[in-house]
Amino acid sequence: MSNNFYLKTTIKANTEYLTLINKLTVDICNLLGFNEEDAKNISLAVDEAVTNTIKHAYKMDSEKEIDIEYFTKKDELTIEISHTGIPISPDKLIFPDMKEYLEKYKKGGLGIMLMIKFMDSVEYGSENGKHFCKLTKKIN
Amino acid sequence: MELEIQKEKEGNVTIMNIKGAINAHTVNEFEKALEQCLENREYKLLINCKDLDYISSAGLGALMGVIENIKTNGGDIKLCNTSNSVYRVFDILGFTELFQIFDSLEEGLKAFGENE
Repeated sequence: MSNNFYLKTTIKANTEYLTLINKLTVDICNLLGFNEEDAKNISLAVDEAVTNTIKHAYKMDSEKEIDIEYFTKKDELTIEISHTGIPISPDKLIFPDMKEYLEKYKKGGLGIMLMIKFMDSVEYGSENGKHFCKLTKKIN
Repeated sequence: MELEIQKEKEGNVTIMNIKGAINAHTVNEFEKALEQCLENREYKLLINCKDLDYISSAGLGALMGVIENIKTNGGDIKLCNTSNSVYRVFDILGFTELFQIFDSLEEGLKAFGENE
């Protein structure tokens, strides 16, 4: 099943889809042979990427749409979350110093940290008028 | 329901039983429950994660939003019964330095000085 898997879904930019997308991602990961822990970690990374898109790219405009594509290439799963809203700016990609973060009870900015910790690569870019976040994880 | 929160008291500890997912969609409900504890001056919180499917950074933000107030008032937030994946979210970001996590409800209560 891991060879040439492809699935695309489009959702409205509404957080009410998050749990559904989480469950879908876990099921896809299970199907592709990821263990339970990796499946949950990957689905959380997708949740964070979709949440960032809803909040920052579309400013909570639930009429907008987000494409989520799952595909395998060789022994890797890639999940591409794309939109036509505001692209992420490099200054949003600052990783907090966790020691200071916890000492000063800070908030926010952890989504991208989780994505980076749980995925092998996290890539942002733009192509053909669309902006994307590409999450990749090697299939065991 | 995507998130259900039930509260119960055990001595001076408020146990918050969480069922479902805490993400950007459900976090308002979680924040409301935490704020309600502050209003009621319930500063010793034990969050029972037995039925928590997953927690995203939105949920961690909600905890960070109240922990200073709770600690200032001599209380604490502890967690118990986390799944491996929920534990890993806390651990990988270093949140286990700030929030103690116990394997069982009994151990969590004991850490608050209850159930001894």
